[in-house]
Amino acid sequence: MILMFICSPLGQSQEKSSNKKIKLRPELSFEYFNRTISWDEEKYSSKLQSFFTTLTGELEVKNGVFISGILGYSLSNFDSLAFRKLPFSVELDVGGIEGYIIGGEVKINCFSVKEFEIKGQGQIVYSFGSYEEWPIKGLNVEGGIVTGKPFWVRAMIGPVITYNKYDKFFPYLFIHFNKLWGTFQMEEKIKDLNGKENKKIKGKSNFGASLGSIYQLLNFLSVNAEATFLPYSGGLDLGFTASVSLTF
Amino acid sequence: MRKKSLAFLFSVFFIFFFAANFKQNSFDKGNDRTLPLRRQNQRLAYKGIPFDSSQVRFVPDEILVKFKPSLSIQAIESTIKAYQSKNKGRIPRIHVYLLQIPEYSTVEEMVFVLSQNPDVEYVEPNYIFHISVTPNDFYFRYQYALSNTSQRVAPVDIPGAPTGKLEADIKATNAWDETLGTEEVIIAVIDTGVDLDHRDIKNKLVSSGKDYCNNDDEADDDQGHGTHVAGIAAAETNNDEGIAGVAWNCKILPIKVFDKTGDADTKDITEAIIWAADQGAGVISMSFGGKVGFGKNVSQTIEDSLKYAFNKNIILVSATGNTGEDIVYYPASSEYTLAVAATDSNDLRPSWSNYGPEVDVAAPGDWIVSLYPEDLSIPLGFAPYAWWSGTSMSVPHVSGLAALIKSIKPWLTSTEIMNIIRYSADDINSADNPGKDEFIGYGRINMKKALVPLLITPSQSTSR
Repeated sequence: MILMFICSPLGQSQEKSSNKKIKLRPELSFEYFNRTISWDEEKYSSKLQSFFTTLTGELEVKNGVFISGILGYSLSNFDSLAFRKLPFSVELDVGGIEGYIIGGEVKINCFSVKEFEIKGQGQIVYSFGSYEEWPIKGLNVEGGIVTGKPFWVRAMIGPVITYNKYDKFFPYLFIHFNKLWGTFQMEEKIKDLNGKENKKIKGKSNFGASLGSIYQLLNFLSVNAEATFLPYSGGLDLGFTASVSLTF
Repeated sequence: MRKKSLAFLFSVFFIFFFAANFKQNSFDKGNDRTLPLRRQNQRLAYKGIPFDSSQVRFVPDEILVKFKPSLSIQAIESTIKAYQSKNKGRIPRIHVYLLQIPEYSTVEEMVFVLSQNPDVEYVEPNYIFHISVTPNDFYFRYQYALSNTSQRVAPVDIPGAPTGKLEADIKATNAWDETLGTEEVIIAVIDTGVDLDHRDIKNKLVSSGKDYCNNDDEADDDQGHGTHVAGIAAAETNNDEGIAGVAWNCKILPIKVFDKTGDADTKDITEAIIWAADQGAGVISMSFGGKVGFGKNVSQTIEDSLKYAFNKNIILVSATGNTGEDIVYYPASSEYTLAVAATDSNDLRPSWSNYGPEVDVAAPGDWIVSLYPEDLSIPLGFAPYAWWSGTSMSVPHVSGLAALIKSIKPWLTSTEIMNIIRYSADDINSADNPGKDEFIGYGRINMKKALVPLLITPSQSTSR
């Protein structure tokens, strides 16, 4: 909605001067990010590392307006996240937790200034982690387990400035409002001791910048590499993306 | 509309650079080191709230500001007002102001904003520092029960003192990383009273208590046993004096039912339990016991009072006895209490520790240093501390642990806290008696496992 508000008049003006044509652009991408998250009313912080691979189907619904659907697989690492509301407090050291990704993306061409093309871009991805069970070790009673299920959402929106001077090489800067939040449900069962904790997490940084470039190998084939920087008071988080896309 | 778009872009740029240039190097140091420091067991606690020492903590609505010396007091006052802050005081000599920031702002924002002001020499959060997790109490070196380093358990001039065995302890120092307890949790000590003027506990007493022997409200100790027990549970700690208590910040409610001879009757004990429950005790520590009942090991009157306290979510802890018999004394044998046997400085059961199927857990009870009434210390002026042995000394270690669990998890029931203490105990005699046994129950208590988050590792995990 925000993108439409900012860019739609410009998009419409472009539409008038262009041919209407629906384009489909499937994209396979790999992304990794290491994000500082805070929890327990920001008393604690730890890292959420996530690697996910997604398939994106992009449709140009009208000239300059692109809508995408995203589907994929994720591996999210919440290690050091501690649950202190369970009868026995526990801390995760389990590595990656599998899950799947669903999301969507909107891109709207706004305007150009000399060799610079300005777009508005917004993306939201949901990661639904699988429900996993781990044994509790070290106690003098057998059979204690915790079961957990993570869920996180990342939403980002902002302008993309692409430098169009070169034929096949398009460096760009994406400045974004970038919000990450989620929950981790954990349940504990040790003989007759039971407890549940639904931990809310949120990313420490809210703004970031991605520097990337698209290289058009063939008319219908391009590759993209991107590095993301997310500063927050006390540090800097990083992320990397690589993708291959086809255009029909 | 083009102007609108440019304005939007400009705003986004501005916000981004604001965030990116947010220079608070002093905040930076902790966060990235969170994991390694945690692995080194550097976690500390503050006022019962667990926190990670690697995380920078500061008072949420205060900052410290030093203005340039050229600035007049009037100019400083108007600058403070301009930032809608309140002057909460000045540190003399170095002219640093403590400001209360406006409610809608955060410390990070105010530090950033003020650091841009050319009249400000420096600005920083009002950082919170914390006490060392290893207490500085003089006799802590002999408290093998809390931290066993194979040390001699008493000074050389006390003959017969054994040496300890590495880590044959209740892992108190590890657990203090997580919590030191809260003042709200009261440990009622039903005993011979407590020396109300003892230098190492007088500040820890919630009141002067109740004296059922003399029918007054001054539960002073004329025997020594109650003072010793109370000190183990919650002596004033990290005060450069005496010993460390298990529950640093929890309070003691002294109740005297035992006279100089060490005897008390059922009526007084019953009334004391009910009174402690009504006073808001979270834990009732009962370092006493006896054989009761014509064939039944129960006093129905005391049992009713235990049930009354238990139903108020109070954790009841009692001693199994010191005669080495195969009978657990009452009230330890009650279903409402945790029955505590003894271990020594080598993680062995002393022969005098009573045993039976009702034993829940064990805790160090041999050669335990704790407080002794100042008036009874002979010769007068001798340090008011003493080494005693008995399951009576084991009980307050467990009471202290129960108080710490209750401090950080007040929502748990007494049954749940009792089970946490049971299940987290170390089965130190597993070679001869694996599993729960009648000598030490589930094992010697382990404060670290009971309080510090257990590491969940990936082996054998299953996904659904």
